[in-house]
Amino acid sequence: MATISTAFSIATGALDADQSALNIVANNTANANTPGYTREIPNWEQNDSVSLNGVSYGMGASVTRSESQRSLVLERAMQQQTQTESASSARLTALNQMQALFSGATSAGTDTSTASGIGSDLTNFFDSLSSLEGSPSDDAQREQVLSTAGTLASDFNSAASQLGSQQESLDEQSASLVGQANTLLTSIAQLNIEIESTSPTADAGTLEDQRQEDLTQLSQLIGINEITTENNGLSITTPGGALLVSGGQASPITTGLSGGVTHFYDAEGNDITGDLTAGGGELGGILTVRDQDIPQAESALDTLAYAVASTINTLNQGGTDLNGSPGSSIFGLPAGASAANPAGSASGITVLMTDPSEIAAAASGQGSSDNTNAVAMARAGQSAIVNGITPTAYFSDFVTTFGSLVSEVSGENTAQQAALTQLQNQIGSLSGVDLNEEAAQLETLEQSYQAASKLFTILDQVMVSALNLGVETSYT
Amino acid sequence: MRVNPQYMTNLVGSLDATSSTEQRLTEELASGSQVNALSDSPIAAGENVLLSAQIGSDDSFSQTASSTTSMLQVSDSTLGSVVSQLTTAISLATEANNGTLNSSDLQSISQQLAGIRDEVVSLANSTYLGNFVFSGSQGSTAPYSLDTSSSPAVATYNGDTDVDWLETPTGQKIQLNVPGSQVFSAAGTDVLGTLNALVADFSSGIAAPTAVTDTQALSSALNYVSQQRVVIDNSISRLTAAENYTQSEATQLTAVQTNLLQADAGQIATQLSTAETQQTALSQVIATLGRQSLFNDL
Repeated sequence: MATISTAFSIATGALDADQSALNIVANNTANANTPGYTREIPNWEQNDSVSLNGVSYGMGASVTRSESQRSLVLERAMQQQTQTESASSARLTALNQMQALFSGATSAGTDTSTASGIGSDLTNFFDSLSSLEGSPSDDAQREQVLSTAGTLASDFNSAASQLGSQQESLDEQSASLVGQANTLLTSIAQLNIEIESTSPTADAGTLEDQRQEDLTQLSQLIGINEITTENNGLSITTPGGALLVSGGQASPITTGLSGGVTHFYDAEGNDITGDLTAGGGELGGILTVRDQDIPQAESALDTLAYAVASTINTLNQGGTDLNGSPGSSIFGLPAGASAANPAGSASGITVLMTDPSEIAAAASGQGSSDNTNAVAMARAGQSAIVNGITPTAYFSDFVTTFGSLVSEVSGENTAQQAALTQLQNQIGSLSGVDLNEEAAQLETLEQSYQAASKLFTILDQVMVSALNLGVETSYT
Repeated sequence: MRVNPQYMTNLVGSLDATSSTEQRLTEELASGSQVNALSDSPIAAGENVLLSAQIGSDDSFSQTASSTTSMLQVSDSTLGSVVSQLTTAISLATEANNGTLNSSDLQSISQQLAGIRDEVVSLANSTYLGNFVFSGSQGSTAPYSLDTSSSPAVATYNGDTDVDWLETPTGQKIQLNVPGSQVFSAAGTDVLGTLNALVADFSSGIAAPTAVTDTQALSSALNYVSQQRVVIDNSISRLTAAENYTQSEATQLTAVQTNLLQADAGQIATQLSTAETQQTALSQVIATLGRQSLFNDL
């Protein structure tokens, strides 16, 4: 037979359950702005019923646990998208710095003061040679040729050295990023141990929140693959498969110098630089610029510098200078640079000639008024001497190609950000704490709590009535 | 359906985006250029490199052309003086050949002819900015030296036969000089040789038998000098035409470049105003939404 004490017990249970649910609401509200927090909802369960004399009586309800509202699929997708987006964002930042070097190409003026003026420098140099055609023995015109050659060479040097220093600063950045990534790997390994021991079968709640938050941060830094293992464990590898975390064991990435730049190695000592470059994350973006974009720009400048300097040198050597002597080299190029491998030409190009009278404006054997060789040198500016096109066209192509690259990466980044925002919205709509919802929940639980306590009061009166056999007494 | 409760972050993101648009537009207005980085318009940046180069070489050619024109004008006026000197010489020689003059008159004509010859030699040795214009490539060497110790006197050419050309930006070649050997001592039309012969013809006071043929030879030499002068005149007019062409090309290209790079102030102002409106609206939405919470009503 059901007793009044059973009803008391149900009311007490309801109060307990409500308190527990209120706790969860309070916790949600408190963590509304905590990064990585997933909202929790109380898991209400009907207590087992009791069957007495063939009649089944309900035994109330209780809150058995709180459940984190999480979708691992969405979070994994978001982490992957974060890796892609961070990579293009880091690459874009570095490329924007690089393109500032060539901003002179966007102005109508003839700015020759900085590296940005290589285009104008080329024009001025070849123009000074064509001016020399009109008065081949004029000292002022000859001086002008050497002076424009000097500006051209020094702007090549300055562009190459600024690209070099950007490369160095990216190199330093990459090493510091790996340091941060290693800290996160250790933290994830630690969380793996805790999760495996406390919650091997179900969602680990706040521990899982922390692990997911660490994974999101790690995804901003490097590209990773996640593999869920038994007992809620997690293994992390690079996209190429080098093991970074296995269960409770973190294998930090180590760094070492190779070929003048920082290279990265896994626990077994394999070089995973290429793997990390292609992988994504901020590190992937930075390494792409360091190992691919900057070397490409340098190589274009080297090719241009080598072609102009060697063509002009050859022509000048074929002529006769103002003193009647055979011409010499105007430009100096690094030893070992060749048309096939012009590496270092942009940083190493110099003007060897100091005496303007050594410019060989005249053809071989002709006198000081002959301009045949000056015509030939000026014509080199209009000739296909760099990879089948003129020097100016080559620089113009370089500017267009490079600008297109920056614009393309910028477009990619915008699209990736939009996709990332969408994923974040999806995750937010599932896991984010909505304060209105919590307020409503609070209101509901408050009423439910009040009802349960009212029930308690009434049961109390019923009990008193029962004890006094129906006689109302004035008891308080 | 549940929505992302953190929509405020997205709104602030949109606010950032409009701010960055405003910043870009303000920058374009301030610089007057719609291409401030290569990535703004890679094609325009590349095109601008080519246009600047073309405009630069056009401007530079204009300067070269005007200094070169001055040099050609020196050659031209020199040849003009040579022509008038030779005309005088021919009339003197013709007078001497008509058989009515006495011996002292002939000697005086011989002396006048010698004066003209000296004048022609000095004209042939004209310089422009310190360079001899008729000595081929040997600009520092006087083209003619005169040896009067023998009779007839001998004029020696010390230059060479080098002809220089100026190349215009369009690849046109314009002749810059005529070597002295081609003007003053060309075989068959040897101006100085004929003058020396005529001086010798009359120097003794009796007209030599060759005097008439020498006078005829001087006439044909005069015609030849005039022809050479036409070469120089042609160069001057071609150079002027090329200079005009490059100047008008530079003007056109500058207009193209301006179109390519210049920001359309009206358009940008409109875009800026739209961006501002959007930003104000977003700020108000954020401010309004921020005030709403069910907790306020509990």
